[in-house]
Amino acid sequence: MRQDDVPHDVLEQIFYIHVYTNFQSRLSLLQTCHKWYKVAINYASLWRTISWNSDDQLPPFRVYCENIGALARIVNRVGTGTFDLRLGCPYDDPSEEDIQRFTSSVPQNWLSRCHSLSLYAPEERWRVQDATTLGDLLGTYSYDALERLELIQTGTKMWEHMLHTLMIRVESTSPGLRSLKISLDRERTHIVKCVLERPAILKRLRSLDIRYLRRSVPWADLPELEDLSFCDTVDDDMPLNDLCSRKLRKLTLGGRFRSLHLPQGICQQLTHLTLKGLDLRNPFEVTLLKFPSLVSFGLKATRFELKNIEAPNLEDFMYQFDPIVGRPYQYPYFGNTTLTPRVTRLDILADELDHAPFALKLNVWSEVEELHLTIYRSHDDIGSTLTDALSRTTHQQPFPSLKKFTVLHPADRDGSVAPERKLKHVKNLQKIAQNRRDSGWKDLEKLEVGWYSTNGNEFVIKDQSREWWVIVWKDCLEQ
Amino acid sequence: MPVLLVTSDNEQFRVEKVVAQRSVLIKNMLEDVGESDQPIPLPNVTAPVLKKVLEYCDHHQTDPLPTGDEPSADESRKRTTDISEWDQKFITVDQEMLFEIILAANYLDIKPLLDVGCKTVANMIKGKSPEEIRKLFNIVNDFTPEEEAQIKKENEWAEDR
Repeated sequence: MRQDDVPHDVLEQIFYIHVYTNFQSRLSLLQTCHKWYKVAINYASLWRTISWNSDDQLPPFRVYCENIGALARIVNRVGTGTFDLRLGCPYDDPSEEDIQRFTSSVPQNWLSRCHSLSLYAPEERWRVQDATTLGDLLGTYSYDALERLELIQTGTKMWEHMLHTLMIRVESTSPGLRSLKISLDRERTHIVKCVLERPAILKRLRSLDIRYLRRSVPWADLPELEDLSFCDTVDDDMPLNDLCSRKLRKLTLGGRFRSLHLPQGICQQLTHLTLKGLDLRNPFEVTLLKFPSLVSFGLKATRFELKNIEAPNLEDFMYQFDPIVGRPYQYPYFGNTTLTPRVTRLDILADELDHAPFALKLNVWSEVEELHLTIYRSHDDIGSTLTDALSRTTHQQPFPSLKKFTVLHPADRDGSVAPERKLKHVKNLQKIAQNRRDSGWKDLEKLEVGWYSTNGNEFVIKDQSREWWVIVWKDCLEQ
Repeated sequence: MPVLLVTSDNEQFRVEKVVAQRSVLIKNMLEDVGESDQPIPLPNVTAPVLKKVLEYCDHHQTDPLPTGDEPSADESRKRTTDISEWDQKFITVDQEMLFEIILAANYLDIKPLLDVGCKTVANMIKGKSPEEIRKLFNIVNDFTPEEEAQIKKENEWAEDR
């Protein structure tokens, strides 16, 4: 048996894991031998996340094209498959000659296979003033496969022409557009004109993520909206007062809102609510909110008193810190709440003083069947307070219904975990399971410890989504 | 009810149906022929390899069968390059056997075993240069120096991140 005999589809699977799970270089695959080169070049899925001129390095498996010639090469490797394209702010508007060379070397309607398109401009002030040629190019294609469009900081003048030509084409050729993300920096006028004043586009949307618009959204033009993420820095005009999408079920709110003014009908129908980076502790501004249909409630770096919310059908509660926003890492006040989630996901700090609520017999822990903890930054264990509470060695018995318990620890910066640290974490959880058994409690159904890597990056990235992944899990019930 | 499997080197294995059916190929064959004592020929698998594969199937006989559906949020949280301890021990074999197991898993359509094999190979090449990969798998460098230079020129921009 020789490695040469491995069929192409198996090699493809290995290459896929190499790139998308192990975040390794495609170049080493191309340079190994003719067979590997051919398999890699012809495997469209390996090239389907394309970035052109974009400075950001996320996700790590994105294929980075630094010029239009490289983009042509990758487009051809994708073949007839769909792809995601992130288009950054160009250093120079491509010349007519570049464009001609590009269009003659790629399939005629290559963008019709683009599934997700991002226009991304992180540092545009020192770049070109107006991307006219590029705008003209984008305005010549149809976008039949487009489902997701992202416009990130494309509010300035140089994007005006490009957005104008692009959105005309999207309006007429993208019936399947379902998701739109808009994040603004300074200028807003032409974003409103090019995007939000196009009801034909808005009415297709199921998902809308909009940040720092600082003006009202024509909510009535969004009848199909199911998932809304809204972040703004002002709440004087209560921008969500007119929110009326009957199909809206998931809402994420961020920014500087100091109160939650949501229409009664929306509160009735929401099943998922997440609050990001808000400070909602002022009792004069936050009144009791009733969400009869809510099954999932999340707090990300948000100060909020859980007693201010009523959600009798809540299943899932999540609390995350956010080191980037620089707020003190404080847990919400867990007392006096009627919330009784079945699944709870919490970020955990190393400071034992913060852990006191976990040792108390609070309503919020009373029906928790699944507890998933993520330790932030510290290499220490979950601490004695939590260990005792979960071991049921305290009189309080805070988690009477617990069945599944997992803990995630950070790995070292290079992604490794020292064997002795691994063993210590495993033994601690096994001790908890043994203590529960000794106290006559039913065995846990699941007890796992894992370690995550940030690949040397921050724990969270700018938009507060997490950019780490679990490198290894260990089943602590396995002998 | 036991099932009789016959390998390419004419060795017979009598195994429980529940174990044999971890292979989608065998499961489909059994469904096609119905209740029968007829041996099932496996012309692409030798006895030593089938023995290993059946060891895997036996250990995982109660696992839920893969559905091909999208993973749930919880499963996504768990999607890792990790291989469970038992699987890790199981797949610690010499390189020839590793590729034989991968080929057998592919032929017999045992997706979780194929996944373990592919992850193992992907982990073996992690962080290695083309030269180190060639050495690891005894692959001949069949590129001319000009081809090597051309591939590097055409693709190195993808690595400058």
